[in-house]
Amino acid sequence: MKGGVHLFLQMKQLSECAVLVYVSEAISEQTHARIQHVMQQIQAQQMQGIVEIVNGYTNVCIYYDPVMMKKQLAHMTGNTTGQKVMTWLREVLQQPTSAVEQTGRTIDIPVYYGGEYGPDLAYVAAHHNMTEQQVIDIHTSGNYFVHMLGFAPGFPFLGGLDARIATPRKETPRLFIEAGSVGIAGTQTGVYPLATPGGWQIIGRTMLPLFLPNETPPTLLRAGDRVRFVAVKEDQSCYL
Amino acid sequence: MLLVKKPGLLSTVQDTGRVGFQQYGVIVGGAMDTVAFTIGNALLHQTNEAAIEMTMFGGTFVFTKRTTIALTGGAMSPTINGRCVPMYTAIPIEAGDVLVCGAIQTRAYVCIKGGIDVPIVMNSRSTYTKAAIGGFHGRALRKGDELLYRETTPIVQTKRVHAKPFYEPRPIRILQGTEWERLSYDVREAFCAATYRISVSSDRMGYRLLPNAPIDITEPFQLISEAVTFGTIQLPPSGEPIVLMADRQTTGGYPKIGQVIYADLYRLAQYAPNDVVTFQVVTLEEAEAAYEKLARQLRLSTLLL
Repeated sequence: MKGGVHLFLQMKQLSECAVLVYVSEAISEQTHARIQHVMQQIQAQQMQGIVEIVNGYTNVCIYYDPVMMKKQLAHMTGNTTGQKVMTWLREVLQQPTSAVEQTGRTIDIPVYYGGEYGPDLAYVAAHHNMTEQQVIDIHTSGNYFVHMLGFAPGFPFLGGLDARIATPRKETPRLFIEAGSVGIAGTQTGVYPLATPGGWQIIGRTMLPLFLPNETPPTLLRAGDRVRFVAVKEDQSCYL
Repeated sequence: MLLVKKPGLLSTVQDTGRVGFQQYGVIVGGAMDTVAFTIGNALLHQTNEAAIEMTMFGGTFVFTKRTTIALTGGAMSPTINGRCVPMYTAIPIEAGDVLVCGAIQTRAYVCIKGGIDVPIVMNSRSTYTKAAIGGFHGRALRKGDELLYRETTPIVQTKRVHAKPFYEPRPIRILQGTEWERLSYDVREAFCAATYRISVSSDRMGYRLLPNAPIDITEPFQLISEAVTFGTIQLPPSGEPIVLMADRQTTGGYPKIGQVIYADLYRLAQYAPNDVVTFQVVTLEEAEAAYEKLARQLRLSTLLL
């Protein structure tokens, strides 16, 4: 990806401690590459007062300390610290830079499909007039992109679910879904890192932990990774 | 150690929360009333040491070693060995002392010299109950729990912090939310005009608000998931706003109609179910000025301790 001027930049004040910077209107891997680039550009400034940066599908959220940023940006134009932060961000992001190589990994997730691990696999199959094996074949042939993490620690928002198995959420959510459950909700697919209530159609389960609280980083998956689901039988090893 | 004789309604170990991990979907969490937490630690000449946050009904704790504590937050009538003790000052503790907290309006902190000694998980000692990590074994305190702390010589302190000015009853000031312009005039009018009762199904993740007059959302819309923060007011299709609090998820898809200003968040944290909230829309200038004023007030109130 070439560095340089970002053609689309829209900013919104989330709170007096946070600014949202939208780099695109479209969800895509190119948008994600632009987001990674933006995050690197901002982090490279090593600005004291920036607390953390969180990426979304089409934006980054910059959390900052208003008192510190007011001091740091005293010379910037703007009536409020929020406006000064936005001015500063625009200046930073319009500097020409060299592109940084995107180093996304591919992570294979072993899944026990169906049976007690995938109580909704039969429903998904029937919903699409398919056999359960056809659903599994389509789900495992996908190459999914992790746009962002959110909702729960390590929960990946995955793009690329084949429309042929997109299935609406359950009308009545389950009160309890096991950690590791692999599900489909509309055009989204994902894995629950924690046991939670939820309305996703559960088609399988992985024993691979997605949330690793004592490691750095604390998650198996990161934004920018690709994910493949691999069907495994119970007598096979969990770990590939 | 600190022995939990009675845990109270909901008591958890908290500090200022996990900063720097939201990009992994890990919540910030931490103390709901950040001002009470800060003052409690300042009274003990320390910053961000883990404390016990108690909700609505506090615990009964036995201290087996000498230390110093400070009790801050919502009104409570605590006793030590049956004797009334004041809030908002440092209290010397001898081995065997029994602290009984009783009813609280609504959240209070037992701050302790050197902090509660629980493992640090992702830079914080705060309890993240939904992920069962942090704090004391990732859960609320139960009868029989033993919390560790370092024995220290008790401090005798006569200085008190005057907390009442921080909690004068006033409307909760809010900024217009990021989807304010997208919502219809009628919805915005109805939202601003309403008063809200805090529903009993409110918790550390968020307060569900019940408006005194319905807010009809004729054209509901959702966003793709994006960042939310402490005090973000979401407006789901039901028309019952949700104010996101300390244990909120990192992202959300409902329209954001408002944002509680930082300087009023700690006051909102002292509201209980069935309390009534009114909002007042302010500008970013006013929100930033209030932020700076609060920071100054906190510094001044703890300067001479």
